[in-house]
Amino acid sequence: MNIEGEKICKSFNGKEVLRDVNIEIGESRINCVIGPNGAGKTTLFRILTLLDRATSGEVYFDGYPSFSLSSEEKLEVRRRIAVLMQNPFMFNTSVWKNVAYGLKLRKDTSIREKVEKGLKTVGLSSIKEQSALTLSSGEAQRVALARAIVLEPEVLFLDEPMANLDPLSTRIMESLILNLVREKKVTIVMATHNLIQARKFGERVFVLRQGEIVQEGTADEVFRHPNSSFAAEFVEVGNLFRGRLISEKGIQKLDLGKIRVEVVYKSGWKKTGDSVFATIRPEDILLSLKPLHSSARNSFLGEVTNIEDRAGIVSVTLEPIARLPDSKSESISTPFVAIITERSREEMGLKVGMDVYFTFKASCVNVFE
Amino acid sequence: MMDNILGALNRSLELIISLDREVFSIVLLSFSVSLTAVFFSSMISLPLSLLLALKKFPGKKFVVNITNSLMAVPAVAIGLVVYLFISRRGPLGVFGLLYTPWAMIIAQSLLATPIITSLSYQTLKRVVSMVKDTAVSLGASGWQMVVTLFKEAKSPLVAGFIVGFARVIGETGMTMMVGGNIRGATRVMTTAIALETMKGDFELAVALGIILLAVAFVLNIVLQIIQGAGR
Repeated sequence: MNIEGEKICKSFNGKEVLRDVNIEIGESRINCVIGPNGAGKTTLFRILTLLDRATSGEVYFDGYPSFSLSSEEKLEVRRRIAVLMQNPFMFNTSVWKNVAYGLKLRKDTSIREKVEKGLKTVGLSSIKEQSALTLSSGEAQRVALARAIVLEPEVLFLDEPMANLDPLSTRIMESLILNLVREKKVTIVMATHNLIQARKFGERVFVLRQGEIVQEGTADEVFRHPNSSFAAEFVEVGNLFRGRLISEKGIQKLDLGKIRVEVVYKSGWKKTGDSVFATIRPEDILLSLKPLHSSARNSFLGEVTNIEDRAGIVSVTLEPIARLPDSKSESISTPFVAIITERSREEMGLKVGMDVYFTFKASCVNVFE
Repeated sequence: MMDNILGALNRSLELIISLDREVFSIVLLSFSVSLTAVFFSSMISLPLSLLLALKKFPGKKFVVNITNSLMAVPAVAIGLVVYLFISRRGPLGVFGLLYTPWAMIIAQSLLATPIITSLSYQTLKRVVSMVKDTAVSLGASGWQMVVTLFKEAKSPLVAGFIVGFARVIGETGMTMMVGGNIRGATRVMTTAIALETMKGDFELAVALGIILLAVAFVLNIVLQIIQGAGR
């Protein structure tokens, strides 16, 4: 089923929670809505699943605006959608009956088989007779998922499905979600503030900030080329700079104070001399002890000021050494962060205080206003 | 005096154990009047509290406030109002209800309704916030959602009925005013105890007192079990 929100606004007691949200849910794939807590993700989900009404704007289901649907048709639409809430509520009965609930409402004829299969899928067949009120939050989340997937929905909304889950439950949940998309062709809409997850899953990513969608695109686009400082900070690109666009011998560069980096010019940019933001993903920066002879045009000498080891992934902080005497940029000492493996750190014998070359392609610099 | 009390206790136990006809009929009437009253109360309370818990409408807060205030109305005032309405010259006088069990049922229903409505509303309001979205998102129609709501709320709702029942079965003055404490017709446990004690005839009073205490005791235990089982 195709779901599309158009200019959705929602206010609670005069406080605007969503503002002009346009969103088209891609079918048979994973759509991620990312944003910090309080950005309006849950409110947006409630409107898209007909649990709540928008103050203004419209939601279309297969092209039909929700206002045109009779209450029977709305029930029909709701029954093609399932929702997994952030803190799922368990009915005061057994696990088995909780999972059977939606099927009973639909007067399904093969409840027994479907419930058994659903419980098996989430790995909880052994506790089917247990009272659902005695479950841990991870188990409750899995029961709630079973309760939703036994309904064989066309669209499954997941509101922060992995929040408050232990690592094992998280892994189970992740593989279940991937299976649903790959094998059952279910459309997934997932709200999360966990960027790693969004990156792992999101084929289509919507960045929600204070009730507005500030960026949408493929996961790769959003992560490599955030279009605002908010998106950049939120997707944790690592190297976020503010600098001025300059033109040096006809080549477009960015003056970052200590160094000038070459960038790939894109039409529609601001004039030379204007202040812009730029991001470079840490994994796009190469480190070497000697200057690299490569096609990458940005290569600088820097001093290692910090090394952090996070489970085999080493994050290296570098302070550029060259200082340009004629720089007019206000930002001066912004360190660069590069990510290398434990192994290459050992091979290079990298230590704090050492000077190394750091190199990156002009195309890896993402410039935005 | 001590002998007097012990003697009354002894004879009253005999009355209870031997299932004395009079004791038995008084207890039976007490129960049937109060249970019927609670039944009528719930017929009003349940739809009203459901409406209050589910719908937003202008004046809702007013209705809730009124319901809560009505809980504070003294039973004797309800007795007076009911008396004025059903006495021969009152607006409902033609039905000849005064000094019948129906008079007691009406008064007790009026006493129990605000209590049960208020408790049911609080219960349903809490349950709605948890159950409604889950039921609706799993595909419940309006009616299916309401059924689920009552299923989830059944223990605290029953607890509300018990509180209402305990309140009306122990009510004396009001019941006396509209029922008249007529032997074999409208004599219930509380009115019988009051009368027999005033007469200085303690046997029946103590026997009924023991039963009334036992009823209160059992209801409280059931209530605590229900509340303990609730979340």
